[in-house]
Amino acid sequence: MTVEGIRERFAQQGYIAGESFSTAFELMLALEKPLLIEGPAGVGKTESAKALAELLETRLIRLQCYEGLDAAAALYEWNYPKQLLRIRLTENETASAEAREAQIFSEAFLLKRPLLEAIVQDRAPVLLIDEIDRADEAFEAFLLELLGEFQVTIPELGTVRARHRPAVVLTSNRSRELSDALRRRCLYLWIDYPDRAREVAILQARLPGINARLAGQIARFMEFLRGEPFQKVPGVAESLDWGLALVRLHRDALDDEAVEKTLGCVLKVQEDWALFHSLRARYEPLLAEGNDRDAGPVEPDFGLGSVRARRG
Amino acid sequence: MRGGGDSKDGDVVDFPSRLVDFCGLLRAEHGFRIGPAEMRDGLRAVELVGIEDPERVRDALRLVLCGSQPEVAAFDRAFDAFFLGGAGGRPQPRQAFRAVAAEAPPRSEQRSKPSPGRTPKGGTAQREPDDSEPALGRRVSLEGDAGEASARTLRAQYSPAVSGGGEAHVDREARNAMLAAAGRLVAGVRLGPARRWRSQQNGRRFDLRRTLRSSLGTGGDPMVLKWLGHPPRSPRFAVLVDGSRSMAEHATMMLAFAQALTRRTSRARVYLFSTELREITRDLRRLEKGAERLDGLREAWGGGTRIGASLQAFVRGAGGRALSDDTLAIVFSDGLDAGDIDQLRGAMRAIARRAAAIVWLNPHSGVPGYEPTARGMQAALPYLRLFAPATDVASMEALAKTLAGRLWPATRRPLQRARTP
Repeated sequence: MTVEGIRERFAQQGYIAGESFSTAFELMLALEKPLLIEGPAGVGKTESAKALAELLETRLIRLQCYEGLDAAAALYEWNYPKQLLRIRLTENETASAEAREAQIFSEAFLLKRPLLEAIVQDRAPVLLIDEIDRADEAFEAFLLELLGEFQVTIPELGTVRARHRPAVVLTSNRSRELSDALRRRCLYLWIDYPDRAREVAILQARLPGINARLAGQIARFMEFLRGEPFQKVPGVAESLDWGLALVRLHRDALDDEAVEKTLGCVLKVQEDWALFHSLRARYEPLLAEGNDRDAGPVEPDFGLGSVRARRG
Repeated sequence: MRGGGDSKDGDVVDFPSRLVDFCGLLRAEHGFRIGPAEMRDGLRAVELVGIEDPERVRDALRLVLCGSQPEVAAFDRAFDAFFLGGAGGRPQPRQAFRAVAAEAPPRSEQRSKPSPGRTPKGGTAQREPDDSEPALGRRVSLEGDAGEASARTLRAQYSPAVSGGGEAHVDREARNAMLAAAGRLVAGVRLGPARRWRSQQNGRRFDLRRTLRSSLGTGGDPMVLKWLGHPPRSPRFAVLVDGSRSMAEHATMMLAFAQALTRRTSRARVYLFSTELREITRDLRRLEKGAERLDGLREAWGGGTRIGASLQAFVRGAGGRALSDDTLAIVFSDGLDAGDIDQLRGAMRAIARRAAAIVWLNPHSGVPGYEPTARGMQAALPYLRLFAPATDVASMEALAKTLAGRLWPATRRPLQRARTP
């Protein structure tokens, strides 16, 4: 699949991909290497894996990492209660010990967790290992082994080899430094906040009801906010929330009142609100002038976006 | 043909050997970790995207060769300079690559040789074989000209630009005592239970798997019950050392302690600040391996004091990785901030929110009659779990003793505002 093809199909999924982004997925599929995506919170790291699964028309298997994640929760576990029950039920049968053993250690008694699930699929799935930085270092080492070989050895069953290599996407918020070994095994992609044009495209792709001017204003405002020293810098997720809120409130442009009412969609720390209000002089021009400078045609999108659209 | 650029028509060089040269440059000058496997993948990647469009070649190579965000920026600069003749257009030293080129996997070169129709993009870029400045030379200087230094002192170097040169001495005499104090601190801090489950005799969750396993020894009857419990969290440390001029005589003691801490736990990160902030964890480790001084501290040593700005920089940048619920933040400073106090307040608040606790060590607070009246100190006090003096090994011992056995995140109230150990 070519880069253009990938980008187009991403767009069909409502995911606007940049050039380097599409190249990353193309290479990842061609080289069969895992892709490690880093970037600030809310730039669409997780979303990209979902979109990838959609466009490959395959299953997305997600492993959310957390502190204390271990092999039993990530790989497989025997279903002990079921095994015990089966032993009880078959106590009076005359089957040989070996036969009974083989029975309770068969696949029917195996609880497959995401990693094992991903390598026994009939069709190569997308395996999303989300927020790998939250798992312990020990788990990272364990993961390395799997990503290298794509096989799992279960003592009672034997070695399970991947029928099809899953496309692996790892994401990290950089709350912890990942090991060099893991980084070396992966392709590395850094996603930053989108530029203004791309943000507008994202808003329009995700919120079909939004009018072009409002999208442009939101994108410009976001660009301004991301340049300021907030504790929680708003990501793309926030601008989508914001856009949706404004559309629901039937606003067709950003003004003081609208910003005040919906500020909670964008800034989520109390100190950030205080800082924001102290920057009033700097963001005010974005509200006032924005109305005219961006002036695309005013679209009377009745019922969807705005009831305040001016006529003429 | 394998190693070099001596192709038939003079200045057109085949792409694989250019790439090998480029990888060598990244390794030598920017410390990239690139092995034969990465080079092979790089060639395959370029083969896939084609070499007509330099943007795409760069995208592809960046994916394969980079491993972290700082590397991405370095890579882009190096790529432009090497393949596109860059803004500076500095010719690349040739001899540094000879060894690298020989290591490259010959097989992959053959496989991915560009088709004859295409001319390699960077093929005609300028490249003087015998530039005088060897790329590797610069790296060696990091290890320092150690010869004359005495074995009993470790030295940190002042920034000549700021303070007119000079050296700080990290005393090795108290080394063992420092190690003991650091060890005690690491072992003593209690953070409460971790989230993961471990086999534990008095755990609270029943462990069916281990119980069944152990029942094999008793003929299948589960005689010995097994339990799971949460092991204690192991603490992380973020040590922020004020290296400004006013602190110089005390900072060396703290650096020695920080170094001891990095030996006692791998989960400690050390930062030095004066007018700017710098992480020195690796440099301290290098001292351990025999380097004699801390180099390249620039504005982080011996200048004025901008505590607020430095801590702010810490919170925004490195702090994101260094701070967590398990982190004990240790700030060593006299609180004489020449910068904006609100900035300091904001930074302290942010650190307090993200770390398990903040301990502020002040070399002067042990002096009888000392009151924390410096503006910076006043701003920081509300966020501290412990405010304690630190002048020598004994006070570090006392610190470890004070911090031992406290359940940090569970009790958010201040321990004490100790003035004397």
